Amino acid sequence: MKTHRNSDLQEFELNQRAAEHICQHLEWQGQSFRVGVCVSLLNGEVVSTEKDLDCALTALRNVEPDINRGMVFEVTTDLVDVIR
Amino acid sequence: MPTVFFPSRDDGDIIELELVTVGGAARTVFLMVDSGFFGLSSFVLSSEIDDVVLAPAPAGNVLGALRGVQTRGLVLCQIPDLGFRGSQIAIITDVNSLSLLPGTEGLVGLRFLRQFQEWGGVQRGAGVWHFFLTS
Repeated sequence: MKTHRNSDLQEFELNQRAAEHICQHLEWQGQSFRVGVCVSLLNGEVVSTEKDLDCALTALRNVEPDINRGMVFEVTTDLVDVIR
Repeated sequence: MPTVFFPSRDDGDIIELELVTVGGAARTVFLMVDSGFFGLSSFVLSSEIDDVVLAPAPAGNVLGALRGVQTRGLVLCQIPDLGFRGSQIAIITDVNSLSLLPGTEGLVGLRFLRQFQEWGGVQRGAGVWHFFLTS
């Protein structure tokens, strides 16, 4: 993730927008999601929903081997971290 | 149940674990334990560790000792003595503002600790504290 091509940044923004929408509305492009499932995205579209992050990463890398592309996350109602 | 122990320092606890690099090698890192760190991410990692992020994760707000929207990535963590291996979400950032213990490269938080059956501090000999993880 040291350097990004413009196309990678645009792809990241598509995925970021999708991830935020999924966590906020538990829905994206007609597909429903539950809190706790793990999702992989590519070009703003869902590649897979899995039981854990390992499976979501494997599913993503099966279709896109470039480590700078795609996105993996667990669905939560809030994307915040707190460091007290 | 397998347990690993990490010698405590006077001013905090440290975990030693391995992160799998993009090339598949194991990179050992030392992270400071902070059970007050919780949320989506398991780790805060120095952005100088730039060869362990296997996929982007959603950027998001961080509150407290770190602030603002932070970059996140997916990393693969393993602790061989516990047979533990799993993908984790990490905040990837400049850690200079965190007052980390010398020799550490980031934080490990509550989301990571709660993947184990037990974790905490224990005396192994008078006044000799260790942090432990039990899987």
